[in-house]
Amino acid sequence: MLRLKRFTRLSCRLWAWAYLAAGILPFSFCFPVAGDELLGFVAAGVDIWQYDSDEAAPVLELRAARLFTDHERRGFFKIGLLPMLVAENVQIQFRSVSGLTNVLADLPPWMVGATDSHCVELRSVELFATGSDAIRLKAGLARPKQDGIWELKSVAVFAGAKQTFSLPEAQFQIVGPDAGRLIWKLGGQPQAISLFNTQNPETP
Amino acid sequence: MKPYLLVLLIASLLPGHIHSQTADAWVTQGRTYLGKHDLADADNCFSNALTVSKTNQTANAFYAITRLLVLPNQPPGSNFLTRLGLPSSGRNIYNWTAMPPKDTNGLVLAPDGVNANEFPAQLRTNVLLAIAGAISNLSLVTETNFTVTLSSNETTTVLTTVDYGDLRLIQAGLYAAKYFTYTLNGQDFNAQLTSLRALYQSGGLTASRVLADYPQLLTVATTNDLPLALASFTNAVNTYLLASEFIRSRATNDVRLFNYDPDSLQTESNFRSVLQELKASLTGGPQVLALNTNLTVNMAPQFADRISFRGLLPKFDGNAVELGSLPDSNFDGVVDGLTLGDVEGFLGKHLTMLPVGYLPEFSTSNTLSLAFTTLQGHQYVLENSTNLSDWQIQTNFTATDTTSTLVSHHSPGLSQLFYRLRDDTQ
Repeated sequence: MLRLKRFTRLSCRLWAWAYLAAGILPFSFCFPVAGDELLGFVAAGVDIWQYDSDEAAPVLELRAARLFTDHERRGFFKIGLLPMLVAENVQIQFRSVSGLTNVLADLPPWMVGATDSHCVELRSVELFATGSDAIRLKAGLARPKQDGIWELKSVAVFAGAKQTFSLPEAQFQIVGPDAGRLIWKLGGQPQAISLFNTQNPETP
Repeated sequence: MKPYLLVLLIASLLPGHIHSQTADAWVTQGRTYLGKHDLADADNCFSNALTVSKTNQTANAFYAITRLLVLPNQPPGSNFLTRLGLPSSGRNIYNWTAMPPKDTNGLVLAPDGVNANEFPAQLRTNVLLAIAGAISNLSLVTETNFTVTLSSNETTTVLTTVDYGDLRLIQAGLYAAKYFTYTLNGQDFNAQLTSLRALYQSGGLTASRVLADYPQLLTVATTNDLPLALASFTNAVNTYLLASEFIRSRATNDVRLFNYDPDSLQTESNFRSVLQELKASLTGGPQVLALNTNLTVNMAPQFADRISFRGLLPKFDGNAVELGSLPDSNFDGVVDGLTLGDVEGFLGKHLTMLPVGYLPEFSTSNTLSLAFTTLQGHQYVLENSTNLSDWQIQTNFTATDTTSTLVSHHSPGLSQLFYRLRDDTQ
């Protein structure tokens, strides 16, 4: 279940206002992200809390400083035919690593790649579990792909305040039994680590 | 056929039928077809619009695009696709599903009798004509305040406004396509696809094997197109510079087909700088690159000499490049200032680079001087063996130059020793 905490500023020329008027704003993050309705969409200070049905406290909190539309770049230019939704300064915090698969799978569909994979870009993303010494994954850029994988760029993994390693590019499994798995290549060979697996920790 | 249908048909074929409506009306009708993804009828309508009014800006803009999009379904393009084995169904540019047939292992079947040189020939004979036509159409869009807004049905994605700058950029791309087509067509691509596929199936498809089997491959086939390639290159540069200036000077809130990206400010500026220097070299001789003053560029040899791609290739062993075998690190004078290490370092990022040994030099003091071509920064292991079967490590080192020389001391009684150098870079 998704609940919208606050929406400090929302402006959308075409259809986000229609959602507001219809009183269905809490569900609006399942929107399709292609087509004319995307043009001009801007939102700031977005928080989404995710609850399990039997728990009072949220199991996941998603924050985005800004949501807006941009265009995909080809060569030196941004292409007007290829709009995309951009979420900037995204923080995804989950309370417990147990049941992480379900928690991540319940992220908004556009964020896990359930919709058109070319139309969403997350800039400056942090993913972490609650706790001061928790593992924290940071990426300069994340692009959800249709197979439930985020393509990451400028990746850094922290344990508490200490950076443990960094990668120019990697993939992060966001749904499925391997949710939470970071995959990259070293010397042409695939490497992987389950970042939030406290039962069976791996080290890169 | 009933008489009135025959009359209607004849009437529709007469030029007067086209002139029965205005160019703008033909454009409107064409756009309706375009919105329904009926490219053939849309193309026909835009063509008719130009028959009525040759200088109609909007008709020229649309016809430039549709005449390219209909190519796969017109006889030359369609016949070629059929020759390649692509099924006739599924050749819809909006949802292309026609793919070449594959064998049970998923390997694409090579069409019988098709030669690789048919591809550049097809480009040169048929595609180039359409490209040239599209360029001519775009040249007739001369009003700098020209805009046309395409509906989401027409674009298949979102409503988009196309302006003069967008059309200039498309035109620059078409000139560049012409330049590459003329350049490719000047080289020999004579190789049977079925033979290449057979080699692939047997695991023998390597660069060295293909070059050995086809001694004329990538040699100069004709120089007839060089003047046309030169004109296309110059036009591509000029048109790109015009388009770039227009796009960069737009209001920042104008969303068009091609939009200025502030993140690309520097790289795009660098690109323009290099283009201008390449163009200047055609008339002013070698130009020092502003981005790297150690390098000079000169495009003139490419259009004046018989440069063959093959003559620029290094030696291959399988698919690996033999270090030190690059015949000309300045690429026949096109780029001056590149060292062998620069070029091999670049190739080493993408290809396997093999060290090659020179003839060993034996001195009277029982020392052997072993020299190898090496890739700077790579780690190597020198191994020796008395029987070519059991190898032991003699030393390892990191190469600091394109040639590395090692000295080996030998006991006087040793009759023979074999050496090999292995790239051990992780």
